[in-house]
Amino acid sequence: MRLLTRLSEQHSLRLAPDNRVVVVLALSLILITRSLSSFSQLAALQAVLLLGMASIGVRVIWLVSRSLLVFPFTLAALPLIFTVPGETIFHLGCFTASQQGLARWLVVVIHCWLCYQALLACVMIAGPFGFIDGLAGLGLPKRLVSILRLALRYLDILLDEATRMRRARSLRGGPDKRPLLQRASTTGAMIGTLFLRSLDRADRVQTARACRGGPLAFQAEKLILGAKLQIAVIAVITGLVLFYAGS
Amino acid sequence: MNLLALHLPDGFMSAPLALAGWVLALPALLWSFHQCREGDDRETTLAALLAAFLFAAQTFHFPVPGGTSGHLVGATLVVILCGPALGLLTLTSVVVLQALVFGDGGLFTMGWNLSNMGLVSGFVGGSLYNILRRRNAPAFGAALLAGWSATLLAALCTGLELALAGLTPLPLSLSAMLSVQLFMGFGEGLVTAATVSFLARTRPQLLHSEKSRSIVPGLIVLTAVGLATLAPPTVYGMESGQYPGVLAYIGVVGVTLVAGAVLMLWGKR
Repeated sequence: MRLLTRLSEQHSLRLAPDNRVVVVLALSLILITRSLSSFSQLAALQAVLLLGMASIGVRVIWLVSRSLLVFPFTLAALPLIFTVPGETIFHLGCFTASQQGLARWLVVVIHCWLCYQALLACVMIAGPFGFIDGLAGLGLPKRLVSILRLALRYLDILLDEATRMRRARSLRGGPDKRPLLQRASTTGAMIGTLFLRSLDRADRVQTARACRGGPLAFQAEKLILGAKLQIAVIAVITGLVLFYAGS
Repeated sequence: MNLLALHLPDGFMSAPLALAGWVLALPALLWSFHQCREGDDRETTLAALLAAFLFAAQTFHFPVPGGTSGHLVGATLVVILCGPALGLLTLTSVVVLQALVFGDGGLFTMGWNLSNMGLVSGFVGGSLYNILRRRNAPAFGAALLAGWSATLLAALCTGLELALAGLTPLPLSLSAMLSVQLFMGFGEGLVTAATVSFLARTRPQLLHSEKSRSIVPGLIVLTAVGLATLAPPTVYGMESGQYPGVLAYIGVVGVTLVAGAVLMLWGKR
């Protein structure tokens, strides 16, 4: 799976911060983004984010193109263009688009885009496993951490399994012209089979774990002074930005 | 179909509103941790593999009436397969990984996404399936109705949340969400039903719902959703004159449920 591989290329970065610091940075960037409402402030944040990421070796072109994924979600806020009162731009049937509505929608779009860029950048810095470890270090229950790490590890395998099943189905028959119910029934049988194979694999994984005697419990490392200082600096900067944005 | 998906991304909600979603989801999450404590490693491994399974199952697209296609959400399916406690743990992992790796949802809005997909879609769907099975309804029909209704209910909640965030007027968000999910939900129900009936035929002992038919988690969530829809319209940023519109859409959900029940009775004959 190319996505997971790309997200795990953090070893090529010129920086290897504590994973907990990266998680705090992600949360702070999201909070800061949401508190800014003028285009100039958001543009400045975007510039700082991209320059910062480029300086430590994150592939910003991939980051920006990947973060475009969030745009379809923002279309749910499209009615803002027509519901916020203000100067008329155009009419669409019985709806009237306003300048203020368009500005409000664009702010929502940029908020979502920047928030996702910040999160994605931080996941790229720490790597998916590192980011989960960072969440664990900040108090995420160890049980959930174990589940997340294991799920991430087996994601590739089960996705490959699903791809093989889909390919086999398409090779056995051409375009499916059967009625809806029969096609759904075939899909259901394939998902059911995939479930049975997942259970078998879970049994094998569990047996292997028992044989090795390895516990699943995840142990977070102690937070060193340098990381504590970095978290404190991020918290202070976030607090200051939130204070000035609110005033 | 991201346009009217059941995920809310970061940036849609103010921080306090986003955190309110966590307040809703946390008690259920703590309950599921408590319930799964005894199983230890085996349940952890199973939940992880089921989360990976759900991602893989979501790559199977199904046809939706109207010429388009959708993919499985799988919340109701997972709860039917492994029960509400382990199901919620699995769905939590899925929601976290979707936000971190695939860009569906966000960190702050995760509480709301978890409520929509885990509590509403999972718990209510699972409980509805159990109610119908208690009354000896066939597995296929019960799963179809459970999957369909749970998706519609999750769409209703997402519509309410979009209005609560001040992004879309309530009548518009509800009409858009429910009209799209009416079709997508049917596809979801159909594939859930096909999967459950396949497993009921081949390995019935694996279905958690065949061993325990608890309906309490779903009833609690359903009551909470009912109370949310009864809140004064001003809570959702509306004028009182628009209230009949909202009631009409809540009526749509009710009619769908009744229609499903009729379908069930017809299926039993």
